[in-house]
This record gives sequence, structure tokens and C-alpha cells, in this order.
Amino acid sequence: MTRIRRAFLAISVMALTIGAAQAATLRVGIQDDPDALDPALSGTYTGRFVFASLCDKLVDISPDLKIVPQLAESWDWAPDGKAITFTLRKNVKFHDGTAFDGEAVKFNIERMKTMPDSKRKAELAPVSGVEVIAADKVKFTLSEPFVPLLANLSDRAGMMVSPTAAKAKGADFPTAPVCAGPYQFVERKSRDLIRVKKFADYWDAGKIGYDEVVYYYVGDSTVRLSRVRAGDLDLAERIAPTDLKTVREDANLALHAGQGLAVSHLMFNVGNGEKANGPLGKNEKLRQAFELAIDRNVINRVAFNGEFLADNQMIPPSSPFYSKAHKAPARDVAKAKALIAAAGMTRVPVELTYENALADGRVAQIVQSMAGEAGFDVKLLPLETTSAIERYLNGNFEMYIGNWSGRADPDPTLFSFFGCTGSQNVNKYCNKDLDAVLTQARGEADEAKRAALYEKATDIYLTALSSIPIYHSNWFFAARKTVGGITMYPDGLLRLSGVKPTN
Amino acid sequence: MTALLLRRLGVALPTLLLVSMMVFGLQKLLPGDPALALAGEERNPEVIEYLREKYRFNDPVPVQYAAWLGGLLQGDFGNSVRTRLPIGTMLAEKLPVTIELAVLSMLIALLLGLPIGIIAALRRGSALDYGASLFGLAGLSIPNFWLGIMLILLFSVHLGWLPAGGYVPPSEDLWGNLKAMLMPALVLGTGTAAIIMRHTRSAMIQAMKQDYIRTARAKGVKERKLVLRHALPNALIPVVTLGTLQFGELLAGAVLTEQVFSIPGFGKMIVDGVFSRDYAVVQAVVLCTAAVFLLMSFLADLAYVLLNPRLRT
Repeated sequence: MTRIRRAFLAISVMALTIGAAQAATLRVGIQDDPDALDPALSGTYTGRFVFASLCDKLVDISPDLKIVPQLAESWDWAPDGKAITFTLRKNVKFHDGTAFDGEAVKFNIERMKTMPDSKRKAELAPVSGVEVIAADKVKFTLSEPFVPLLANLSDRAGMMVSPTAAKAKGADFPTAPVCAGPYQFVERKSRDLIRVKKFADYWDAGKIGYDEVVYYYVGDSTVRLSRVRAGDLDLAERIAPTDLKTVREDANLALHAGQGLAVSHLMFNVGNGEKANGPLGKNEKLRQAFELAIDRNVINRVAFNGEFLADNQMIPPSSPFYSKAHKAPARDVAKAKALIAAAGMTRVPVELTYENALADGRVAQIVQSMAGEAGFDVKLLPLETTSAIERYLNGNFEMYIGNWSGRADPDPTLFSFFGCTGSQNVNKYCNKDLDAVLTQARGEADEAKRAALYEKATDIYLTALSSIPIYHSNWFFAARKTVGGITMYPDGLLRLSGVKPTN
Repeated sequence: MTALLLRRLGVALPTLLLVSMMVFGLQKLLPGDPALALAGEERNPEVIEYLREKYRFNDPVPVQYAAWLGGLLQGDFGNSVRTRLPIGTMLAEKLPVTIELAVLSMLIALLLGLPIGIIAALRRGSALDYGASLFGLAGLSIPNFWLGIMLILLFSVHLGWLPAGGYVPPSEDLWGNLKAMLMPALVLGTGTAAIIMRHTRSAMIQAMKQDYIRTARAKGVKERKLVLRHALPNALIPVVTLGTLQFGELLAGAVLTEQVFSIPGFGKMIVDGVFSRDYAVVQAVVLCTAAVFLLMSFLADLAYVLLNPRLRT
């Protein structure tokens, strides 16, 4: 008996020692399998989510959307706004030991601008040249004053990859990316997991809290949550609003919530081909009637348990450039009906195209029912994503539920959708006054003056209503209470600096 | 035997070729431009055109097919256009997972389905038979994803006995692998078990009515031997056919179960491949599944020979 007890004790002690000696691993559940792991090529949110541990950027954003130093310690704009000089952090190394310096910055910017399938060309388009002034100083020359550049550099366009590795690996770089972030790449099992480990030579190594981080691809949000509840995962991103109650009631879990940058909106085709010839495409009064016919709060309550943010603007209230003067109008069916009557109509037909996902499907049905009460006959056309996007890009729609991920700066959102040459302006809305205001705002470095310009822009686009913004989604992460130091950022990316086990 | 093998191979190769042509052709009928799907949110026309050229989306379909087949003959499945990872490696990672899941599910299905089917046939009309019918009905009608989530809630969230999902290679941790595979295999296996049980039951009922059984019984053969040696091998022939077809389905059709238990297998790979228009991935997975299917039907033929001496020449 004593012998058995002793053996049991020995085994227990062994188990404990093994447990204590085990490396601290953070297991994170992500909703999609990221695409190519190369900042120049990446086009998915989960790709950016993983890059947040792998690849540091020249600058970062703070939780309140200010630009803060990361690999660049400081920067100076030229008085005419057509050049910016960065002073780089010293003693920074890439994961392969290559030194990070001005030459590396030049290489990266040129790589993103010239790689044939680079997705960063538009973000870096105003950069006409990069000059290395010293090992720790690099100057970007711009073709026009472009204040949003810093916000662009706080995302993938500002991520630095090792020039040595990029040159050596060529097209194979995404299979094993080499950057200068707190964690370095170990392995990727396609459609399963991405493993990264602590980078001992990181410039801010004291803030690394785990020896290893593993990102698991778990597509379904309820399953992701179950796995966190069961203790198989430590953290899961994008918890569905309908599951938040479960998280709040679980004593082992903490809910991390934060306002996002994304916007979902109803876009009207006002000038692209035949589908622009419907009554709503032609008449802005009818579009105003449509806005009055829907209740954004009801959409938020019914479709998202009231957990998102009902709003009438393309940029979220967290942005310093949000217009407080333009409040969302309350639902007013009588006024909507009056506007329809003034246009000489009683029933207004319109077709609503959307990507056949759960959230958009719910929104579409609620919109259909509410707009119907005011006199709009909304026909629903749900399509599989790729087919829907093709129609969207070709302007083959009357009304479309657009979901835009948003950016730290208002320019990439407002100019893309409302600038006459904007990349997302697929409904061909063009207002010369608005174009002039948006272009001026791009070159305005003074924040107050810039805000005044965006105030004006908001006024114009909310009158024309070529798009009716409906809501901003919020970010919800569920994490076990053993994970400490999580800070939510508007871009919804988990920055791992400072994230540590609590025990 | 060699003749059978050669004959089978002679059929298999053209079949695979035909399958690949059909998948290639059908995929091209899908609406939506793959280059657009690839370019994502930043829609730069130059980049989109470059992608069309790079992945030969502009070429005529037969030219694209020939290029793909040429690569395949040299053992190159190409790269996923979405992740840029080599598809050969992806297959090498996923195939063992899918096969393991299918084998374990089949094992569970056979261990449950055969004995219950036999007993139900022998005790026709008894409470046992009704119980078996109930099991069959439940197995067929309970949706996999629902059963999966219920099992996770019970065994992972509340009891904490099993991991809620994920995959551990057996080479790393055999016990962990079995623990991770148990629930998904059970979910898939019960559905298949119900089908096998019903077929075994009716085949056994038929077999037990045959003249040779009555003769054997009259000659005093013990009941146990009668069932296991005389009736069962004959009853098993349709069950073997069914089992192989079911196995093929387990290989290709475990999408929901894979999703619920986050198993990195074939099912999700092919569905996501279709949605992101990652043609080369879909091609490779379908071809692989077809090859395994053919292999299974070959094994079924061998099993017939073993079960039925009259087929041995």
C-alpha cells in the first residue's frame, strides 16, 4: 500500500515538474485560414491578425487612433507636405539576424510598389521615391501632399520584411515569412495552424509574455467559443453577438470588447450602367425617403442583439474626424411616404443584392420589411460571395449591402467610396465639390482644419446618400482569465506586446 | 489476381482522367472571376490583369487543362493561389487526417452496425429489434453538426474529458490523437452505423430464409455456427458494397463534422477552395478522393472474392 502511495506521489511530482517546465503557449482561435503570409500580398483580416505578432511596422496606431512610433521612433513632415523623414529605431534585427536600417526600409517600400501582384500599390501610390539619408534616417518623397500616408504605414504597407530573406526566397517567401516582430515564424499547416515562437532579439523583448503562440483556424464562431470554454484555446477572436451572453456568464472567461472601424452600408447604383436607371438610382429624395424608412437601432437589436453600433456615417464615432453635428435621423415613415408621393410615386421597386452570409441576410430581411411599410418594394437577391463581388465591381446591382473593413484614417474610406476616381466607387457617384474637399483634406496636416473639411464632406455625402451607412460592427474577443494584458484596438488586431499569462 | 489488378488499373486511369476533365470544366462554369476573388478589397485593375495572366485565367480552357495535367504528370499539383502554399504538401498533410477519420468512423460504424443488425434480424419483432430500429432512425435523422456540438458541450465543456476539437498527429501524441478523434469519429460513425445496421438486418433476414439454412439446420448445425458461418458471409456481400461506398462518402463528405471539430481534413479544404475559386486546390482534392474511391471499390472486389468462393477462379 505504502509502495503504491509512494509511486503515486512520485508520479504526481513528476507530472507537476513537467507541467512547470512546459513552455508557455498562447492558443488563439481565428475565423479564417489566412491567405499568403507576405505583407505585400495579404488581403485578409486573419492574415493581419497573424502579422501583428510576426511583423512590426514603421508606425502603429494607439487604441484612440493616434499614430505612435514602432520601428520608426519619430518623423518630420516637410513644410510643403511633400516629403517625410523617418528616424528609425536602432539595434533592431529581423528574425534572420539581418539588421533593420534605412536600406531595409527602402527595399521594402520599393518591393511593395513594384511587385507585380502587390496589393499595397494603391496605399503607397503617393510615394514617388525613398532616399536613405543615414543608417537610421530615411526620407520618403511624395508626388502630392498626403497626410493619410502614416495611417497606411500603420498597416501592411508599413510592415518590414527581411530584405535578405525576401531576395533569397522570392515567390516562396509567404511559406516562411521573416520580419522583425516579437514572434518569429515556425511552421504553417495549411488550414490548420500557424505556429510562431518568441524572438529573443526583439527590440522590446521584455514585453513578450509567451514562448510560443499558435493560431488555430476554427471557422465557426460558436465552435471557437466552445473550445475556449473547454480550455482547448486561450483566446478566440470575433465572437458572434448572439454568443456574448455565454461569455459573460462563464466565470473562467473574460470578454474583451472594442469599437471597430468597419462600416456596413446600403450602396445605391447611381451612375454605373443600366442598373443605375431605377428610381432610387436617379432620385436622391427617394434615397432620403429610404433612409427615413429604416430604423438602424431595430436592425442592430434584431440582427446583432444590440451589440453593434447603429450609425449614419462611414467613419466610426471613435475617429477624431467623426462629425458629431450629423446625427442619425429617426425613423419617420410618414415623411418617407410624403417624399415618395412628392416624386409622383406610390410604390418604389428596388432590388437588394448581398453576399449570402448570416448577418447580411438578416439585415436584408429587416430592411425589406421596414422599407416595405413606407412604400418600397425591396426584392432580395442573395448571392454566393465571389459572384456577388463580381456584380458589385461591375456595377451590376441597384442596391448592395457593402461591408468595408475601414481604416485608421478617414481618407481611404471616404475617398475610395466618394472620390470620383475612388477604388470602391463602383456605383459611380461623382460630386466635384466633394472631390475637391476630400483632396484638400488629404494635404491638410493640421487636425482641426482637416476635421472641418471632413465635416463639410459628411454634409455632402449624407445629402446625396449614394450610400446609406447602417452600423459599425464591434470587436469581441473571448479569452480565458489566465491571459492578461489584452488591449483592444480599433483595427481589431491582437497586439501581443504585453500579453502575458496571469499566473 | 494480377489480371484483376491490371484490369482494374486499366479502368482506373481513364476514370481519373475523365473525373479531372469534368471537374476542370465544371469549375469554369462557376460564376465570378477568380482574379477578383484573389485581389480582395484593394481592387487595382493592373494587379487583377497580372493575376489573370499569371494563373492563366485568360487562356482557353483546354490550354489551362493541358498545363495543369502537364504539371501533374511531373508530380506537381501547383500552388494554392490563395495561400501560395504548394498543394502537394497540403494534400500530404490532409490526406492522412481524412483517412484516419474515415477509418475510425468506419470502425465505429461496423462495431455498432453489424452486431445490432444481426441481433435485430435474429430477434425479429422483439423489443431488441424495435430498439435497433429506433437507433437506426436516430442515427439517420440526427444532424451531424448538432450531435457534434452536443457532444462538445457534454464531454469538453462540462465534463472536461475530451478536447473540443483540433487535431494532433499520432506521431506526436498517439493518446492525444485518439482523444481528439473520438468525438468526430463517433459523430460520423453513428450515422453510417445506422445505415449498415439496417442493411445487415434485412440481408440477414433474407439469408436466414434460404433453403441452405433450413437444410443446415435440419442436419443439426448449431445455431451459432449457422448464423456466423452460413448466413452471415452471404448476407455480408451487399453490406460490403454499401460499406465501401459509405467509406468513400466519409472521405469526401465530412465537411460539417470537420467544421464543428476543427479537423483539418479534405472536406473543408474543397468547400473553401470552391468559394475562393482556388481551382487547383479543388482539382487536386477531387482527384485524390476519386483515386481513393477507386481503390476502395477495388478492395471491395477483393472482399467479394474472399466472401464468396464461387468468385475464386
